[in-house]
Amino acid sequence: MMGAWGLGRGTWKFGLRTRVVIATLVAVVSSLTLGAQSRRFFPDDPIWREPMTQDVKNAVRYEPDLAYQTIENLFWRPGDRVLGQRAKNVNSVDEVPDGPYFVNRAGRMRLTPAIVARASNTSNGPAPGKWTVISAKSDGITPGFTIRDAANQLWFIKFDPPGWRAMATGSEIVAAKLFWAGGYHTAEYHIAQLVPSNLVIGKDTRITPPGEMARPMNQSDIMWLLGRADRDPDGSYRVILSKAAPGRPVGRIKFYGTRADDPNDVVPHEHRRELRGYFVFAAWLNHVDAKGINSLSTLVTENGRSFIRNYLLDFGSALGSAAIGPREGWEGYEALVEEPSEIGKRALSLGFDVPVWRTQDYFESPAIGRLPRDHSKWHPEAWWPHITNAAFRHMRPDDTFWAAMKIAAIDDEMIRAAVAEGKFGDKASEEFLAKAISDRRLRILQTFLPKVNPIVDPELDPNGHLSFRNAAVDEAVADRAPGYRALWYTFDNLTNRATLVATTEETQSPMVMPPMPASEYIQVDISAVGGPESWTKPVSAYFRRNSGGWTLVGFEREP
Amino acid sequence: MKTLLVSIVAVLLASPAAAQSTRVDTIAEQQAEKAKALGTEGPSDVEMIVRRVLLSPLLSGGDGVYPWFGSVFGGSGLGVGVGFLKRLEKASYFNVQTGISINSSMVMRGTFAAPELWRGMLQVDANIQWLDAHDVSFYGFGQDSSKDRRDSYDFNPFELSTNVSLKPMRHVFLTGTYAYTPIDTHRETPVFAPADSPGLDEKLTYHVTRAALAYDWRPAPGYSTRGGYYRAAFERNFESGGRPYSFNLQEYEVVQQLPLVREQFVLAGRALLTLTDADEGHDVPVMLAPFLGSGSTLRAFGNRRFADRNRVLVTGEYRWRPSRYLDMAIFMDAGQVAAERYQLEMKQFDVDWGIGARFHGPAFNALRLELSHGREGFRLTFAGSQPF
Repeated sequence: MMGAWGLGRGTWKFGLRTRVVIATLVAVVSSLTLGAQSRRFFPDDPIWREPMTQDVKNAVRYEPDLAYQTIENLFWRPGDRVLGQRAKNVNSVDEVPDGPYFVNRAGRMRLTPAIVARASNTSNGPAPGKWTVISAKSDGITPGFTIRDAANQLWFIKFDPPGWRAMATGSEIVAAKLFWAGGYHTAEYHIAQLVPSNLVIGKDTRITPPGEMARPMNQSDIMWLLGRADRDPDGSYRVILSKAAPGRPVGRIKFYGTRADDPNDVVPHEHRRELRGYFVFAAWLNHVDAKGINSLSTLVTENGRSFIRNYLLDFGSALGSAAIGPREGWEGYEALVEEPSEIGKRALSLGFDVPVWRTQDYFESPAIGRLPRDHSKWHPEAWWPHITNAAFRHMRPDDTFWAAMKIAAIDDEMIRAAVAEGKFGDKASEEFLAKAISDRRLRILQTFLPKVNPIVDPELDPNGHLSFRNAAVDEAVADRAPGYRALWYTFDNLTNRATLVATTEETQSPMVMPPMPASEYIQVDISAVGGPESWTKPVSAYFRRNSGGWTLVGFEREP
Repeated sequence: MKTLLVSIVAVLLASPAAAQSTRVDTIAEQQAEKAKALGTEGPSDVEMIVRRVLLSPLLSGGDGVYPWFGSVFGGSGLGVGVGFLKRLEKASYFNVQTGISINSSMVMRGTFAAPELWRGMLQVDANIQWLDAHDVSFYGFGQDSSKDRRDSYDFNPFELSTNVSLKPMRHVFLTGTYAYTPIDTHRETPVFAPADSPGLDEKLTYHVTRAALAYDWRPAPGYSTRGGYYRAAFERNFESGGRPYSFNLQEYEVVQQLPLVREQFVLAGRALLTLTDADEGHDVPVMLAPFLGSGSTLRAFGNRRFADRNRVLVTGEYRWRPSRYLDMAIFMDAGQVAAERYQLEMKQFDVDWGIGARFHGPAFNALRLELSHGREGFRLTFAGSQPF
């Protein structure tokens, strides 16, 4: 029997044996590739760096409109309509790989107070010499300048509002350090003293004063702008300098969808865990202005390839500062526009339904602004930024747990080191602020760690001992569970099928692996016995056999 | 044969599925796929529309043509129109508006504000206004006038004026005004005889000089929850056409707001006293006489329901704040008009009360809705300003 395949101009003829060989080859290779498509774990799992394989060539700058962003989030809530989905950018062990928004620091690298204090700084500030004003922020209430130092480096300068020396500048520094420790990309910040005579106006610098037309800037404009800033008795001004982020600005972080011009951006932003978890960090530091406009996306070129990196910026409305004055009572308790049901309730109550922020006691000082005096009953879940976003709306308890674990790794010493960088010049206020941040940290751990099964760091040693930690118990925010149950499975990576082998129970870690059939992968579902309800939902750990024992390749925590 | 087999294997391994042998490859393939169909980052169509609206001079304070909403004349209903604003150096500007109300009243006005002097302490502006107001009410003078006896007249003033505003210190405002104002009024079917309706159906020409001193420590005059406003104004209205309608006017106003529980509640009060003194043998014309009855005076009474040579008004409000953009209020107004000052007495005051909702921004009132009740029944108020 003969067969013939037409391939171009010629005709090849094969015997039966040949055809069988070809068919077998096709079948084998197909099964291999199909297996690759459906396999649960790949040889390189878990990955710890988000691949950015494409060169970003045509990213254009797009500055979203703040008012539009506000309206958009208030009324038509963009992004994926289906809430409750698991974050899509986590690696196979439920962590966020280093990437364009985030780098694993707290909880993964060894942080020290000195490292947190330095954060993203790589220099000691602007080069000595005159500062040339390139542009000025003349709208709004607080002034701002963009300058070039003697080394031609671009810096942004901001001030404290009159009467609130160190409040906005110091708060921004502290928040930036702690966001950096948490893992977010932030700018380099320095506190400095500005002597007006050190400013020179660039030859093409223009200004548009309120109600006026754009025109060349002159010295009186500088003095007019400085008139809205807090001035020291010697005539100088305390300022915060932020170094221009590397790369070309191409816009701001968008909290939903992907950038149309970034081929590496394939996970919708509302499904990025670090953007969902940003809520927890923002709540911790009362960063009520956590919106896209207070971020920056830049096109960075490294090793001949361009990619987009995203920074968090402008923390002047964090902690006790509202940038132009002390934090208003409602900030952090309510969104820019309150919930309609809440408004209705208050309208009908003749005002006697009084929000808690109107009656609680506040600590207030010119150095740090205004913060509630007592944070021991603060509810992180009830915290509100001015404007919420799609990523925050998609946030799930496993996302908040992830963020809380990062915050758990930032201890009180690191917090004090960050606060010291604020150089508030008021010891009592500094101590209060550090304590407030620590207290809020504790409330975050108390709230978010026990809310899901808090088992972390599972390991299976060559002797078959399964060890793990209970993060909520370790952080002393929950009582010990009376015991733990483990369901042991063999796991077929190609078919994604688990076969239950045995169930074991122990009062604590480690647990002993029961006799298991030979299998490259095993799955262990671990839950607490007798703990809070949320702890009875098992976490799943996946181990792959290696030459010396078992390697964790997968971890899942479903709320 | 060997060549063919190698080719087949190579083809199969080069297929997309075969490329996904690692997690990185899997993601790389998604990225490569996206790279084939990149778009441009930019505003959506809706964002473009919103930007255009927000950039209009009405909302942005920028230059250009803008829509206008407001009141053409008290009692004429909602007015709409168009304006043009051109900003010039040192806070000077040129602004023109024209509008028409639902009862066909029309207005055209223009303002030129000269550059500020002394760092904004002194500003001079010049104004021109033409008004054609229809169906303006006059119920006769006095507090006991009948609701059922109403004159309706057209009111057509033309005004050329200039103001000099001086801010010698924080919160203190001194204003001097001169206005040249020819006024024409017309009734189709008069209800009141000429002797009982002075100035109506006549052509009058006024030269008005006014001086006002104010101390205003409210955070913003357009909307505030604390602070006070105290004003005294003195006005000379000289009728230059030889008609007997020259008079002087004094007006005193006190507004005080008392916030409670970190501004959860605000107790607000206002007292207003307007006194006129006609020249010997002269009278105060109907259209310039102090009146009560409007969305900002006696709110349960029709526009200009009571008019006379003197008036007094006292208002108290209990306000609460369900939202930072919505204030609610329970209010009470009491007031009286009288021909002579000695006739002003509390027991003669007409009283009304009501409830209201005010939608506002940080420094302006956008919409005020109020339901009030007085001896003449219920009344709804829609307004774009604070009651006081």
